[in-house]
Amino acid sequence: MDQTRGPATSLRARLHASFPQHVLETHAYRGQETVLLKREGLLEVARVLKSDPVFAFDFLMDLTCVDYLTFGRVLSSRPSLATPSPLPYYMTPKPDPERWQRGVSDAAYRFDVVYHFFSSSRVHRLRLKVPLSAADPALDSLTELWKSADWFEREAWDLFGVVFTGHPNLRRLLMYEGFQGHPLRKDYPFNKRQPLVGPVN
Amino acid sequence: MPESATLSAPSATETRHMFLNIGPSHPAMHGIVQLIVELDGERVVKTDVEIGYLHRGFEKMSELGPYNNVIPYADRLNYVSPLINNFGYCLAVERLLGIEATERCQFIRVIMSELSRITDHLTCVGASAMELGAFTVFLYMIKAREWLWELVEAVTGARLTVSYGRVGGVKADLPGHFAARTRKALEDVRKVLLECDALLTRNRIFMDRMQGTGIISKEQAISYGITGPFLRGSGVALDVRKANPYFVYDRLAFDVPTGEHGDNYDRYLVRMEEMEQSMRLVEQALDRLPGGPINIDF
Amino acid sequence: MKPATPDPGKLNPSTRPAVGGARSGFRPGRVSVAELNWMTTRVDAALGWARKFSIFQYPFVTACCGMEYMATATSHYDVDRFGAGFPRFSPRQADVLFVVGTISHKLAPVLKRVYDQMAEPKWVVAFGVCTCTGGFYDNYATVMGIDTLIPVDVYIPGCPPRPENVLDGLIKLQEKIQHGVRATLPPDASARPAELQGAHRPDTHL
Repeated sequence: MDQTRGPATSLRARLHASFPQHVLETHAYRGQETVLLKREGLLEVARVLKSDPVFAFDFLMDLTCVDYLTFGRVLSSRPSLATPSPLPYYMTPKPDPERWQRGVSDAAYRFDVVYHFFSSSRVHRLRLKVPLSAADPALDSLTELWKSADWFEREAWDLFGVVFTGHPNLRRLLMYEGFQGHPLRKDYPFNKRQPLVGPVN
Repeated sequence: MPESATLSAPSATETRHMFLNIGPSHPAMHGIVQLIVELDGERVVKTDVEIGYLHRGFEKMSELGPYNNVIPYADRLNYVSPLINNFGYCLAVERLLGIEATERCQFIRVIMSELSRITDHLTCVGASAMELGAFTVFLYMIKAREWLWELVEAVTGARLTVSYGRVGGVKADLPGHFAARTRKALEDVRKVLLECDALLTRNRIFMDRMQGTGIISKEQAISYGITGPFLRGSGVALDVRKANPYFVYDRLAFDVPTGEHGDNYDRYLVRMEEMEQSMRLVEQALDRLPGGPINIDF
Repeated sequence: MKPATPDPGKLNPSTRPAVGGARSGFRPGRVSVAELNWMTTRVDAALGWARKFSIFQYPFVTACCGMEYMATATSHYDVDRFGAGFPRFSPRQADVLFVVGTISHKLAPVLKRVYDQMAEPKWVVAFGVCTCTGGFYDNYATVMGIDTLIPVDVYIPGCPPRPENVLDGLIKLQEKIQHGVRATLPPDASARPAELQGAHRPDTHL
């Protein structure tokens, strides 16, 4: 590990210094460096992350999505086909206004696409999060840089409905082609079935 | 469909590639995947892979309860080595909570993870041998796996879907005489591995079929984000237990076997050697197992 | 008046011995219904015995139960002693369909097709609770029991079932095969128990 790297030259500080126009926020909660990025800057930043020897992120370990539709909101207590999945019973939902002060407004912030990078040569990790709105959940595809992005992005499209422009083959991965909707979204009830053969239950 | 034809030669033959659908229900009976392969004789030219036939909605179900409720789902992610999945998930939640499991718990987790890893590799190598026709090796390896499953059952209560990990600890402590039973079982497993090694590693048929097939280069493996024995078979000596140690792996000595060519034979050798390294880890951890509580108080 | 002498060749069961008909005066060309029934039952029993000890299974393996299926089929809990040691990976050549592991909605048409392709007589074993009732995957992706698609003869619950459970189920299947009994699909969803009919299952989580 690079011994000269202290807080002043941490990965997120370097990234912030290189791309001040794209980086919204950084933190290192529990020691895991995280950078929030604007979606316009994603491809450029990703290129730098891969090619720059300071970062040297040759592995895109994971690409997933978070749906904040029900975050901090009180919902009905029982899951059913009509209402979306609630917060677990032991969590007291509290609205969190500080969360929304990121240069994006509440209405425009529904999804976070999360990227986990790992560098095998420098052995460090970084997490990138790109907030997206509900109306236009579209983002650049990273398949030209890391082949692992291919199926991860297909999964994100399938389960969340996030569109990756530039993806060579953006179709459903886990659900079948005729499936309507995106199951991991918070407004898709967990037991709503759309069977191809057989009864609904 | 691509076709090539030579003109005006009386003995010209027109060749076309054949498309073959393998699956989703296919004789390699572990896991379902559909491969639509384009064949040039026996050589696979291109493949279209269709997955999702075993999508069971784990992530959606995980939203419905407290953190410990996810552990049965974690078991069934990689059902050949369920304990590792248990502990991986528990470690992630513990990191988020900012807590660390007790030392005894970490040693127990290492022991159970490595036993699980051995059963995983036994199943994997056995099944791949079976698919090539070496059914005897499969039987021997499943026999060895049964001994390890008996150990796992003694600790967790279940052979396969264990649900043993908990956030902040494990379900229960190791039973009495576990160390002696484990050492005896590992001795027996070593004998079985020697037999299987003698049957496969220098076997002409096995070598012909596994060497030079299924080559994944280093760059391809890294680009596809492959980790584990697959990556090490392709020549990248990356093991997260050494690179980013968790639990007590930094205090235990073990080697990381790495392949050279990235073909099936190298991956087979990596797995066989990893089983030996896992057994080494289990024996070291049993020697150094400290006393104390297994669940933290928070 | 002389009483009418019963004609042995006539179809009159009351004049024939009740048991062991063939032993007392079997005359070729003059076989009674009772004799025919006895022979057919004997032949059926023999066929049933032969069938139950030569099970050609199609292991439709999907998930974790596959590991226990492997364990049952091989060392320690050998299923070969039941004559079932030879899986046939073609539905045309198999007579018992072992559905092992969760069936998702994406896979359901494939299962139906494989079942339809099997030749009669065929039996179906639902191995594991995911195939019996759907297991704990009460969600958008899973079929809640394969008996919504195909008729099931033996249900082996467990997650995954221990090999001893599987062998118990196999013995029950053998009894069924012996007697030539086969399952039929319930006529419609209303044949399922009341609590499994609603759109939403009772609270199984928490």
